[in-house]
Amino acid sequence: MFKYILKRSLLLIPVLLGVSFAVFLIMRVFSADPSVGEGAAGKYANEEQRQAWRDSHGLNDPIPKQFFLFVKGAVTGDLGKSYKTKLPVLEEILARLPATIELAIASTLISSVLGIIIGVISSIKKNTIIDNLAMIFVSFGISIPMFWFAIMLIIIFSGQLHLFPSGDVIDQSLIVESITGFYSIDTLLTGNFEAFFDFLRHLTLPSIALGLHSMAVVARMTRSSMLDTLNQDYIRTARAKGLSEKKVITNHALRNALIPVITIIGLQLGGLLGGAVLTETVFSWPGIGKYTVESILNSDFPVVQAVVLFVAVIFVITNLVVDVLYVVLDPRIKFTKKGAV
Amino acid sequence: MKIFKKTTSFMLSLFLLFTVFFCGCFNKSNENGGTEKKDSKSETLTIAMTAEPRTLNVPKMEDSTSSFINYNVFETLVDYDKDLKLRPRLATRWAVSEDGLVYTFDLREGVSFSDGTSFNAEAVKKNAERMLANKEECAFCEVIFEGLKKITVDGEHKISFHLDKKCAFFVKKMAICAFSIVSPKSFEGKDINDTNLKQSGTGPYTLAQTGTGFVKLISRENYWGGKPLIKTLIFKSMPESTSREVALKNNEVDIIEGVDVNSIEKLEKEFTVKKTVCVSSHYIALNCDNIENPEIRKAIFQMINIPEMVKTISKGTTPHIKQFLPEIIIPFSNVIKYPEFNLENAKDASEAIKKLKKELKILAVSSSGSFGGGRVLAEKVQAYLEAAGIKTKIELVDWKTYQTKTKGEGRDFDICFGGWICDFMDPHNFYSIFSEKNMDLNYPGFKNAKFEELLEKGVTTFDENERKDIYSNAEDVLATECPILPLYSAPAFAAFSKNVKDFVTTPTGSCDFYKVSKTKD
Repeated sequence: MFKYILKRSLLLIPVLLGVSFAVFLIMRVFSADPSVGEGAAGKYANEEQRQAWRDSHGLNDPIPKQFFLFVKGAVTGDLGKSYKTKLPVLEEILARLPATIELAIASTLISSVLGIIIGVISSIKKNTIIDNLAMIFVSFGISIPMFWFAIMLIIIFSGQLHLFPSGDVIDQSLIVESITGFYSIDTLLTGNFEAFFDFLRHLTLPSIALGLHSMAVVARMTRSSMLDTLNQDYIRTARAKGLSEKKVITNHALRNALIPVITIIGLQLGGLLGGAVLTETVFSWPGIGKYTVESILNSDFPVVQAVVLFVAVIFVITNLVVDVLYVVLDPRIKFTKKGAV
Repeated sequence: MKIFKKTTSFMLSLFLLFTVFFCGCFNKSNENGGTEKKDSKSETLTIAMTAEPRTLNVPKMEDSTSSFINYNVFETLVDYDKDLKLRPRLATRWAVSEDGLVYTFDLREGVSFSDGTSFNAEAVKKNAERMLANKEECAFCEVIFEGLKKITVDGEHKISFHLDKKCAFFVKKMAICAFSIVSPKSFEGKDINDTNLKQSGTGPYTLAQTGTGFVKLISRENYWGGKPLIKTLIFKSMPESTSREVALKNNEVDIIEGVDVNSIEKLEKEFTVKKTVCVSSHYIALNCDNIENPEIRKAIFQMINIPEMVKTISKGTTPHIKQFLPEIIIPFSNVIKYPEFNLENAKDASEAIKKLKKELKILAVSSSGSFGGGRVLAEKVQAYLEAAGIKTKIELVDWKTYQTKTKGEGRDFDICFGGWICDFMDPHNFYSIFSEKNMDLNYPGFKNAKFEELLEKGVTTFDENERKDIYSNAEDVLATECPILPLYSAPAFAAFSKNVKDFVTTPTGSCDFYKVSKTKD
């Protein structure tokens, strides 16, 4: 297995180079000139000053040379500085990453648990009113625009019922000592339970908004996978052995049915770790999704390149973890010399 | 199998630990690790902003959000009162030499920075030198110190700026936020881009904590103007307007800025909604390279019913403006007349327009702005022109692309929209954007010898009455030559709880929070 992990890790190199180059090229060919306007050469800058700014940022160099310098910097941990804030990009991303990770994990937990429960119930109650209602709910989850759903959650649960806050990651009047940057961990480590529960309250609505779509996908996948598994011969054998229906479902059917579901959950988590633009914007969640969009609009090349590289790494690692999880869930799958079977 | 489970669990744990450690190493958001766990609600004022500050590094400031926050931490030499007249801040008096080349400021005594060091003339000089040494990093450096020959410290609390040419508005430029005075102890020996800079100012508040999406300020006991009434100020970024409104209703925040015009009526039932007309001008610009004849430009403007258009897009909250220079600076709309809506007159010229261009290209910004942004304006203008028989095409682009397409030689439009929020309260700062020396801000590409001459004269004329005449003539050139047509001064709406007292924003967009108080619920 270690050889397999090593091989997959080595595959990261061409993937990351390819992704970086594609983004590098697209940004330079199609984006507006970053030297124009506020935050770059300045709003009073004339063409000569803008040219000097482009020179000093290497933007007048040939693209291959620019790319080589970017890769060289990235390998040594230097992803450059943001044109807008002039701060190191790595520092900016890592300041926002904890918020994104916390939101992604929370919404994945919600979507996985609910999605699997709904999918299983729907499959064992196939073609009943429960199944139909569940599938209507799932269709609602898939088709509803996330932006609208997020605003509705705010209006109903925050504006009308006053159950949850409307946005932000924590009540900023609460003083939280930063140790790791993760509010959930820091509040627990410092024994600041008031802040911990306040953080959970802030986390609830964005997690639900973000998790709804994933939950619907997971539920549909679980249902179809369960239906397929429940028709297998070994399930009939298990029932014939006199095992209780509960044991048949949980020990025999669900475990096998979960294999494709895990792939979906892994991919969803990978996607969410790259930042959820709309949810983060609506809930004023200070993650990397919102930051990336702002950077694209500002033609902030170093930030966009770094974020894409970062997200690609996260995505590939998540996929690797998912592949390894396959082995845990399905004993028939082994890693051979040629890789996974 | 068990080995695989263990390995997987181990890998996951390692990944989680690594992420936590990695982020923890780089996280610098908190500088306040006391035993106190919560700021008292009645002593805390939370303000929801539409955007995050771009930088709190004073000389590099360019955006209004950064200035709004820093205004309470750092102070300039002079400032404006509510009528936009100069008032003392860190300078108590100022004088201009007879030849108009030396500007001397008497500085306030007994003022200290929040790091304990004293404010004096040397500190002012060091701040100016820091900006001058980092011209390319400080967008306002050349604007503020244009023509500066030398700076002399004439005493512990007296400083003079020597220019090589007269500048009638040099003192006004001393109110630009980017030249707020920072304690030299904070930056001496450090790079201007040093991320660990902890800047100290002379203002009523001091920077306590910054994080992604929020900034926290704490009041200073020994502020020279008296102790602020509110202990903690929290500025948080909430870009979505619905979220801001719900946050205000839920008592999560006390003040929200950027209130949507559609929500004003609803919010007024529970909260105080305040309108501030910023010192700004929005206008329609015609590309003078493509439409060279002023008569044709005039005819195009006569096809657009500006009062009706502004009333519609602003839902009746804002009137149209009759002159480009905000009337609060100098009013002369009674003598200057821009083309008014007159379809009959305009129709006579429509054939000439069609001959010149089969289709007029309207360039606008796609993202939202005041009153729905450029798209709404473009569609309204298109409707008026099409009604007059002129074919048009709208091109919507992002802000960066818009700036590229409206600059210099690469201007790619027939009609576009511009807006100018002044950096200092002088007519020159408004009119100079249409100077041919400033083609990067001159959207219409306007070139006029008389206009240039008037601008030059305005810089060196100190007499206020003479200056009034000069700029009245400059406005008249704009009204006659028609490169632009004024639209409106963008208002800013803020809503706040009834228990917040004395929240006043100035036309420059700043707010002295040290005068604001909050009663208990």
